[in-house]
Amino acid sequence: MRKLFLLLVLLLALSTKVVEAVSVEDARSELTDAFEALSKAEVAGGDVRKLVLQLNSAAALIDKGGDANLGAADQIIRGVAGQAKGVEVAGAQRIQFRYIAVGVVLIVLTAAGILIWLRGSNLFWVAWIRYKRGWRVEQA
Amino acid sequence: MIDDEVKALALVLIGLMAAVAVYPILAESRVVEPFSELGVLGPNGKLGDYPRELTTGQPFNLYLYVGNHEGRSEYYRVLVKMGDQSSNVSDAVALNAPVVASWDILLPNESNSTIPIILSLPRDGLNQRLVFELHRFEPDVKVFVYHQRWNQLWMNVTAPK
Repeated sequence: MRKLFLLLVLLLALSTKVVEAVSVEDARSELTDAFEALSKAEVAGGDVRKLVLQLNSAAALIDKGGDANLGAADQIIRGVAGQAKGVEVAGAQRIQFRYIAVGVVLIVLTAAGILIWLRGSNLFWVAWIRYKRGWRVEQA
Repeated sequence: MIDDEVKALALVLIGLMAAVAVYPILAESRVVEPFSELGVLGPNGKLGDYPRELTTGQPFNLYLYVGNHEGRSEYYRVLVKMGDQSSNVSDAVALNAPVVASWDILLPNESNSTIPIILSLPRDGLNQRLVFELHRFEPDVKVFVYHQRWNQLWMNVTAPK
């Protein structure tokens, strides 16, 4: 029974997946890839401020070195890279919505301009008469 | 006729309103004079009190200041190189010397960072130049490019006894 237990423990230890330590070069390469993705998202109109600051903290961990810091940096970078596409899409939608809103405002203003050009005089004098309706003309 | 004057006034007001609506969209991402900043501060985090006399391998503290006003997020790399009186370094040409140390800093637009650094010099000599260069990552070409910002400290470095 004891031998069986030891054999089981040995088998479990051998089957455990070995996590490869991240090297500084690999971490920096991932960092540049993640920054490229953020740059693309920023050009599309996304707000990448917080993600850039997260990458900066990852860069500081990489500069410090050590397996623990590199592992933590790797996790941060992967998290940021995973969010970059979503930020890009959201940014593009935000820009699109803004252009649509401006377009609607311009259309409304143009319609108002046309209306004023065609009916402006009538509307003005009707409003003026209503405002002055209580007045009386008297001989001086 | 007063009618024409009223119409003209109303149309001018509408034009102004349209300009107010459109201008923020056009001017949002415009940066008049984009630039980056690089500074080296002494061990107290201020300008001055820089170390002048050091021994080889002796660690000393400084602070790096980097600022981003480029209108977009930037990935900077500060390279520290060691030269001497004959070294050629300018805004146009980076110093052709081995890198003693480097630090990566990523900054959003309109932000800055001051980080403490520890350095030690690998060789001795009088009037040694410790040159700090700012390089910027270009996503289009995927390399770091010298960004024409540099600082230097003059030091006398002696061999340890």
